[in-house]
Amino acid sequence: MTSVITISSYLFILPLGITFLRRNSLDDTQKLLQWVIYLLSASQMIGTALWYFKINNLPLIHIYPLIELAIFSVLYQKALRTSYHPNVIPFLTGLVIVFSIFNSVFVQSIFVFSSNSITLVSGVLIIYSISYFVKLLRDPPIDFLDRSPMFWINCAILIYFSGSFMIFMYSNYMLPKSKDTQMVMWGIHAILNMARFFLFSIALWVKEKR
Amino acid sequence: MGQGEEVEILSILLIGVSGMSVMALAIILFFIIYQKRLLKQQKEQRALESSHQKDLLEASLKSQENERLRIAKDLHDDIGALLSTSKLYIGQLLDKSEDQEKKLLVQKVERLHEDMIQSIRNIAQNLRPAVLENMGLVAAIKSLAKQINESRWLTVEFTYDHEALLAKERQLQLYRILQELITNTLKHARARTIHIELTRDGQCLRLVYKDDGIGFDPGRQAKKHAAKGLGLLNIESRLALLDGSIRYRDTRAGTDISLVVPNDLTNISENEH
Repeated sequence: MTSVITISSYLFILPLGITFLRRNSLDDTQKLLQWVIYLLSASQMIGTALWYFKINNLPLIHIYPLIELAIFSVLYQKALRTSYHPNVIPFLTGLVIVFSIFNSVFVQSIFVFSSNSITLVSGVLIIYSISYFVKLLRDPPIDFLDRSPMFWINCAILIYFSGSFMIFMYSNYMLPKSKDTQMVMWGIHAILNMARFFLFSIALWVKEKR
Repeated sequence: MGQGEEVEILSILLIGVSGMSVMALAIILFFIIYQKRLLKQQKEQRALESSHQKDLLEASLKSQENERLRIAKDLHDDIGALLSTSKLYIGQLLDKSEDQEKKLLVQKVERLHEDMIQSIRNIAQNLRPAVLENMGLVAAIKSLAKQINESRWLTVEFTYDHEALLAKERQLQLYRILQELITNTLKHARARTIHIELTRDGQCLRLVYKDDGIGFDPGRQAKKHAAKGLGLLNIESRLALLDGSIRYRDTRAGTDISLVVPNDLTNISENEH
């Protein structure tokens, strides 16, 4: 399980490499995803460095999911513009960010795992992702889905956040448990994280075809 | 909290995570399958529409050809026969006439009759080329080339290494396309020479049409006139019926067009030259 967690920690290199290779031919959706990759890579590297120097890296968990949510909200705002009122996604995202800041200041200190905030972010992203699929059901696309970066991003979000939702929800409850239990929990998270990075890599690699 | 309780909670967590992941995967799989089915349905519908349009086009062109055949027959059998008979009477009138002035007038009328008979033959021939009916595409193109060469407006060179292995109706479509191309050259190209080449290209028939006129760019033509001219549309419609393709080669001077039509090996026996 340790090796899975280690591989997962460095798998951000794959989508990062693809953003470098395809830097001149990325479309608007892929360009936004590129920023998510930069954010995840930076937080992964900073997190590892802080852990190496035995500094608490949990404050990162209070910040990067919010930036990730903000970037994905821009993507979904564009993808779901015909499904919702244009203010729904910015309002919902703003509400989650305000709640998360409130949570970090008054409920869960920045030095503990921000399970409330990250669970809420996961829930909102799952709703966006399912809404995107519902939209596909209502307006069947004429383009090839497997060539659409947004489809792969949506798959990555649905698989990663659906799987991780319960892990995040019970994380603070499980943290004081035995090392083996924690290993299983974060091992599963690592597998989901790997799936996310693979799917993000596909999203960055494909070229939209009509 | 005991070891047992910890295992129980972990099991619940594992079931929850697995359940959510399986659900997410199921949704994604459903969409991939749904999309594939939808695309297949759209493809089938498009094929059906295209086949229906092809049938309509075929029926329309067939009725056009039938009408041409009827007019050609009427011209040849009725008007042609009447003119020939009246020419005989004029001949008799010429023999019996003694007045020199009248004789000259009758001779003029006789010449006019001859011209009329020849014109009607030409029109009937253009409407439904008998050579094509009886001797096939190569002979019909040769006859067309001869006809134009006799006019001395321009020279038509025709080379071939292959007899078209096409059903008669398909040969007629190809012949009409060639007529349309020649008409375009005569009307717009200001050319001096036309070169027609009929060759075999694998299982297909390749017809290359070149002239040394001012040339044309089909893309620019379409932009200029918002839509393609009737002639080009006519060519493309007939070609669609033949399941063929057309390629306009980019030339600064002259026209260079290549048509490829699949040979109809099942309908006609091979007749190599």
